[in-house]
Amino acid sequence: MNNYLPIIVAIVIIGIVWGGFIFFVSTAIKFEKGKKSKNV
Amino acid sequence: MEKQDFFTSRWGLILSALGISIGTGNIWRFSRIVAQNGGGSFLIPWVIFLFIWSVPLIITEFALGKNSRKGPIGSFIKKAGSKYGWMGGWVAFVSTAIMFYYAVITGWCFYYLYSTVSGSLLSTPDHLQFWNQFSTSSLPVFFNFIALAVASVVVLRGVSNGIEKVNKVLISFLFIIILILLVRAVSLPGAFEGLKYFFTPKAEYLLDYKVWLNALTQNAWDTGAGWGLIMTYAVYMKKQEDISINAAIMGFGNNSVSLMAGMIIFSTVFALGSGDPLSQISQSGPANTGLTLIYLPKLFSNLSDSYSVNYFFTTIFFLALSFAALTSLISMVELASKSISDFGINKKKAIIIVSIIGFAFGIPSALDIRFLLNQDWVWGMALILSGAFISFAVIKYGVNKFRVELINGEGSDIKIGKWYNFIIKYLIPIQAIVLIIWWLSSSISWDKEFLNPFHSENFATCVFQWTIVLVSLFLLNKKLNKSFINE
Repeated sequence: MNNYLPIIVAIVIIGIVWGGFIFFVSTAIKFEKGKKSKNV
Repeated sequence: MEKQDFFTSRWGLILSALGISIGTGNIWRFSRIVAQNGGGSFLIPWVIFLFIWSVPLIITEFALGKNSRKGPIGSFIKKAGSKYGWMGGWVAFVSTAIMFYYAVITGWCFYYLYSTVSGSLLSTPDHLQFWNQFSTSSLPVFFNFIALAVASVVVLRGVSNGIEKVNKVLISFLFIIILILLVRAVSLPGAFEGLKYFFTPKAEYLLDYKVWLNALTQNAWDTGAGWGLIMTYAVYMKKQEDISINAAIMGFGNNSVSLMAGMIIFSTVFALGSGDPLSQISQSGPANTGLTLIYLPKLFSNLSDSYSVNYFFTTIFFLALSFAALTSLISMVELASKSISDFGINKKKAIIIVSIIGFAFGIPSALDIRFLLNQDWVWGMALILSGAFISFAVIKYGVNKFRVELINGEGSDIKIGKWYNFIIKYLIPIQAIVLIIWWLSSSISWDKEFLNPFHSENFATCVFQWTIVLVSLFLLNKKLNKSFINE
């Protein structure tokens, strides 16, 4: 179990931090596209 | 009346906001604090405090700036009331005081970049002596001047033509450089041991309250939340611009860079270092420069047998560090200039005043590292109080009203829930009070002469300098109000 612990923690931490960053950037892109298509 | 300048695009605003938060702290301080606090054990509270300190405060700053269209002083007067202008003055003063010595640190980064490009850093046999020679010469004053001059020229060009354009280029390049360094570092033989330490939590550290307080401190200092800088950039965001998602991108983006920088440094030091790698990462060195300016250049010069490879990676490392430092410095110059121009002074004049005063007040830090350490201790700590003042302004305005009208108002892509009320009303003030008490009581224990205000990092120097500034601002409150009262 101890050998897997750093891998599990790495997946969770990277998942939350990088995953969160990518999620919010893609959400912003989605909203921007929506706003642009409304303007058209 | 000067024409209002705006960020031309959402991405320009986001990259500029990332420029505020991504600074030397991500590359310089983060790895050292992780090493001192049990590796993976530190990362867990560090992520938790991103949610309950950094992101809520970033959201608040965006909303204050966007809706008041003023720097910190005007924002406090408009949203908390005329009695509390001095609190905004405190927020503005603290970030400006940090600017004085941050320009010196930016200058150090520029000098190391120059030394790498000229070849002198890679050819030196003794990196500690290289640092000592530099830091005891007058070169830090010269590079302090260069750093402030570059930042001021960018701010002089305005928001859309200067700050936005420069941040778009520098922050995009910074991400690319960090990714290149990350790929190189994790592919070094032996890098896995560093990553293993970096991500392994240890129960004894996780149960230690000091690790949690250090994680909160890192969030308070590193994400740019509570500095008033985001509030200043938010003045230039358009009405139809969203707050919540932009704030989340800024908080998560900043911590993503910290995570990558940590992985780069732990991989490199464990792969190439001799002796105990942990003591190498956690050693402070003079002015906490040990890891970044002394040990890492030594490792980079032994990265491979090829001089060109070592030259390339050392150059891009200091390029990344210089970009990170410069983009943060730009935001500090903008905050100080905006705070002055809010009193009716022409913006260009304000920028020139700030650069001249900034250079003059940076000289003591450039010439004497003990002075820089003192200022870093006093005003770094003061940021926690700034964060508490910002949450107080929202409480005064009405937390729910603030959330519904100013955060979830015009332009919002998503609506922030009532959880925000709880964090701002209770968690931020509690965290700020605990942190201040902990740091000040710790400072009593690490200096026997803790009542001597002329020591570099102790209780008295902090309380003494804070009191002078707080009393002065309090007495000036009526004058601060005058310029805003009729608007």
